Amino acid sequence: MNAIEMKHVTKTYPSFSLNDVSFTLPNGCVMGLIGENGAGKSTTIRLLMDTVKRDAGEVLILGTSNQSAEFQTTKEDIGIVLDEAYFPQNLNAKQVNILMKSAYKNWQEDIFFGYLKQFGLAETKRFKDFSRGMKMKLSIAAALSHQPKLLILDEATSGLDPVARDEIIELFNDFTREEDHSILISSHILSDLEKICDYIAYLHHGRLLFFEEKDLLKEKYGILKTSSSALPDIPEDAVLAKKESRYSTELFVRRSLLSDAFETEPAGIEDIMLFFAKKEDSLK
Amino acid sequence: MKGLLIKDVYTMTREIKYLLALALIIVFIRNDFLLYFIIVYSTVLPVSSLAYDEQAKWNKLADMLPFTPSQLVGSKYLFALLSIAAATLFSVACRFLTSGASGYDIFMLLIAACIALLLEAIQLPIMFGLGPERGRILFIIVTVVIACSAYSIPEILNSIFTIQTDMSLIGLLSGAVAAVFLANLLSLQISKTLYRRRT
Repeated sequence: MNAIEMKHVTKTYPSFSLNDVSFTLPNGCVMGLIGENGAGKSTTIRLLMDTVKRDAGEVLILGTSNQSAEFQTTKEDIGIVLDEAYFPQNLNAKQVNILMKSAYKNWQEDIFFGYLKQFGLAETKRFKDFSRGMKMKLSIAAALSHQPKLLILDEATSGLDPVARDEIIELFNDFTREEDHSILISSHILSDLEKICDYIAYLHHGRLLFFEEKDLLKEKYGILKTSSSALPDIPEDAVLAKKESRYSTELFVRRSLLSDAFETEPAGIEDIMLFFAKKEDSLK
Repeated sequence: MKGLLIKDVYTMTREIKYLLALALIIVFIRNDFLLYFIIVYSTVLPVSSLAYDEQAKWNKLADMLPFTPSQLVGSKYLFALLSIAAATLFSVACRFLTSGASGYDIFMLLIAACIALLLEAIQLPIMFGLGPERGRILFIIVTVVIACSAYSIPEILNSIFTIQTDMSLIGLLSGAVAAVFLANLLSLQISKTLYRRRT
């Protein structure tokens, strides 16, 4: 069973549309959803949870159609962290516990309070007095405290300092140690995604430019640092993009088309994302 | 649903405190108008809680949790019912304690509660349909109507019932309760439909 199957989903707004988006997140895997601001990441997450009605396509979450009556039960197995923590401002963490206990049958308050302690969150401090980082930590604690099988995280690590981010990423890593646990995480912080993702999906202006295994992407594309004088020796069809400075030339290359004589570094997700974005924009 | 109700109580703690302070004032100054006013004023609580939810964008998250639209909408109606019931109980108790209460006094306070519930049945679909931000002007108009109706309830009823018999009062009250029940049932369905349409 797949954790998420999104098939040819389309949603059109007056000023934006998400076009024919399809991807599959296998059970036990982590998928990073990347894209610039306004690319459609949050819309995709809303479509997954059916809080926005799609115009076309199909979505299955943990094997259940998200527009079926059974999806209400499936929600018990989904932990959600949105781009901001949307708990009522006057509530404190203790009261959030009561609220979430009524939402989830599997709510485990000992785990929730354990996370509060781990994250250093005061139980009786009002939510509105929390910093953004603390609010996100509270959301993450709530998302992890009801034995979810799937985590859907929309910019969950934004607003956190590097140490806290590392701590949270480690938590997500622990979460995926269970073989039926999966994560979909959208983020601008590509270094976080590089650490934990098995798959990367790149949305650009509402279109899915690629959806591929991270390791395959890194195997497929590379960075070759060379000098301008060595350029004639490099097969033209291997070079996908070129960045030249006074002192060096950096090539974004298709590694399979280069001989072993050329020492390439695996491309980072950011390099790959930028290449696809520029390529797509140049076609317009 | 219980958790949603508790959330509303926590969210509205400050407003509930104001209402309790008003109740305390009523006990001391023994003003009949305020006994009615507190009942209709309690309708502000569920509407304000909707505004707080909107401000916190709570529904963005709530819609993704295992709450059904019926629970999310229904909890506001239940909160309204409990708020009005608590205010009515207070007013009745206050009337008993301060000046002793006739059946007619209690009847009039219960009619005020019915009017409050009827106004809630009108207000909540407006709020669910337009959202608290856009529904605010309508909310202010309805609040003014509430205040005026609270003031004039005793006069209106006194002019209608020149001959007061227990039977006619019980009959009218039963009719009012049935009308309020049906209005709220219809209102709840409309609110649920409007809530679902927002996605």
